[in-house]
Amino acid sequence: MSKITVAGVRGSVSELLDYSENTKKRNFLETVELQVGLKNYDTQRDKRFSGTVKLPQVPRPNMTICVFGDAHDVDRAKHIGVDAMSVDDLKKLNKNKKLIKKLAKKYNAFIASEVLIKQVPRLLGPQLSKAGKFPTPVSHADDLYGKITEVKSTIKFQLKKVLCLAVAVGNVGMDEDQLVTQIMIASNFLVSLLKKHWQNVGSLVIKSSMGPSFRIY
Amino acid sequence: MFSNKSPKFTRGKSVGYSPEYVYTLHALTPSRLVSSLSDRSLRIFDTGSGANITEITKLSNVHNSNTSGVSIVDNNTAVTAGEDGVAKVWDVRQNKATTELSHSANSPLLSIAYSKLANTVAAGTELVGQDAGVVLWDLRNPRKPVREYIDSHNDDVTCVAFHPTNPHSLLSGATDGLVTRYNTTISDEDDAVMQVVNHGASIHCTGFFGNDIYALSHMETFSIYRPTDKDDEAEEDNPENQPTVFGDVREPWGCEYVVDIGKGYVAVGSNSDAKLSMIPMKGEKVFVQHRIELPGAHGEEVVRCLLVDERNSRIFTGGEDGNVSVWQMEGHLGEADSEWSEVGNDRQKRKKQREKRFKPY
Repeated sequence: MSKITVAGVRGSVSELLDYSENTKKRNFLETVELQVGLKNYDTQRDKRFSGTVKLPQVPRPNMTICVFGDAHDVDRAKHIGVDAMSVDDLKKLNKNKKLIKKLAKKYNAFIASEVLIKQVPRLLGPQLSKAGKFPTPVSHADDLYGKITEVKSTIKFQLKKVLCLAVAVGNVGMDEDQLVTQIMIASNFLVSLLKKHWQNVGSLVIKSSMGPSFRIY
Repeated sequence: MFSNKSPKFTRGKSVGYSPEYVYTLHALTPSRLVSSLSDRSLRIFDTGSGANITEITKLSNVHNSNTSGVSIVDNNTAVTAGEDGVAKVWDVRQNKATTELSHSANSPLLSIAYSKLANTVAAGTELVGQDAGVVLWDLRNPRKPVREYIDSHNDDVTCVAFHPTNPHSLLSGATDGLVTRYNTTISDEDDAVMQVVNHGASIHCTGFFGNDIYALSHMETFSIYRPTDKDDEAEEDNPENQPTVFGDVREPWGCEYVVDIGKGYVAVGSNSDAKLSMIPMKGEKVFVQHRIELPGAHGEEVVRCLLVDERNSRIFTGGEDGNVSVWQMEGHLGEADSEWSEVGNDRQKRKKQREKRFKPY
C-alpha cells in the first residue's frame, strides 16, 4: 500500500508550480526533483540501490541525442530531425581521442543501430564508455522516435554513501496532473526496490531548481 | 529431474553472527566452506555431509575495510578483495595471507574473480576521480598487476567474471549499466575491449552462459546477450544476435529481489513474506513452476548468498540476519528413478538409501 496519495501529492505540486510560475518565475525551465531521504539503511553494508526509471513524460526536454546509424537508421533520424552519423562518418574520426571526446561532450546521449553497435569499440575505442555515454541499441524493428523518447524519459538514480538521493521527475512547464503522475510513478518504483519498502523511507520532498522544498512524505 | 515434484528442503543447522551480515559463501571443498562477513572476518566451516555446519576457524581483520568479494583458488586457498584497495591470497591451513595484491591507484576493490587456467586474479575497482576499471594479477608474479583497464567504465565495477574455458576472456559489469568483454592478452585497452553491452541499468552481476553473456541489474532486470565480433561489418540485423530480454523479473519469478544467478538456477527472495527459493534454469528457460522453497528463509532479512552442494543434496545460504544456514533435501525413499546413474560398487548401499540425487536441472 503506497504511503503517498494522489490527493496529497497534488497539493504540494500545486504549491510548487505556483511558486515557480507566480512567486518567483525564472528565465529558464526549472527542473522538478524528487528527493528521497532514506532510513534504516546501511550504506556500507546493504546492497546497492541503483537503477533507472522510465517516466511517461520527458522530465528534461532539452536533451540532445545523436544516432549512429546504418543507412536505414540515418534516414529515419534525419526524418525526425535528429542528428545522425553513419559508419563512414565515425570512421572519419580516425579514432582521434580529441575528436571523440568532443563528440561525447556535444550530446547528452547516443543511440546506435543494433547492427552497428558491436563495431563501436573498434570505431571509437572506449571513450564513450568512460564518458558514461555508451549508446543504447535500436533495431530496425524498433520505432526510432519511440526509442529516442524512451532514452530521454529514462532517469538514473543511485545511492552513494549518503542516505539521500535525488531524481529529476519533471519540469515546471508540465501541468499539475502530469507532474503528479511522474512523482507517483517514480516514488512507488523506488520504494518497491527498497528492502523494507516504506520502512526505509524517511522523507520524500519535491523541489524545483530554484524554489523551496515541499515535503510529500 | 523436476518432472513430477519439486524436491522439498528443510532447514538443518544454522550458525549465527547477528548483527553482522553474511556476504558470501564459497566451497573450498564439498565439506569446507568459507564465508566473508561484515565484521571484516572470514569464517571457515566444516560441513560434513549432512545438515551440519560448524565454524572451525575465524580470520579477523582480513581487510582494513569491507571485504567486497571472495573467490576460491584451490582447496586450501581463497582470494579476497578489500575496499582498502588490496586483494589478499589466504592459505586456510596456515590461517594467514600469503600474498598481498596491490595496484598503483589504490582504489577500493569491489569485486573479484579467479581463473585457474590463467592463474590470474581479476578485481573491479571503485570510481575514484575519473577512473573505474579492472586490475589483473598473475599469481606467479604477483608483485605488480599484469593489466589495468581503466577506460571502459564510468562508475563502480561491481562484478568481474572469467569465461569458463577461455582464460583470456573477461567480463566486467559496473553501476554505469555496461558490461565490457576483454581479451586480456592485449594490454592496450583500445584493442583489448572486444564488446560492450549496454544493459541500461546498474549491474549487480554478470557472467558467461557458455559464450553468451548474462546481466542482472540492481533493479532486477535480467537479459542474456550474444557474443559479437567488433570487426563484423554485416549490414543486416542477425536474428541470432538478438538478446533474450527478461526485463523486470520480480513479477514473473515471484520475488522481490534476486539473490544470485547460478549454474542451472536462479535464487530469489521476498522480504515481506520471508521467502527464499531456487528456481531451476535450463538454456534460457526459467522453470518457475518447479521452484524450490527454503521455508522461513532468513526471516524478513535479505539473503546475500546461496551455495548449492549437489553431491550431498544441500543448499547453504547466508543473510543479513547474520545466519549461515544449511538446507537438506528430504529423501524420496522407495521411488524408482532411472534417470540418474550409479557408479561403482556402492550400488547396493545406494539402492538401500534410495536418496534422489539433487540436480538443479
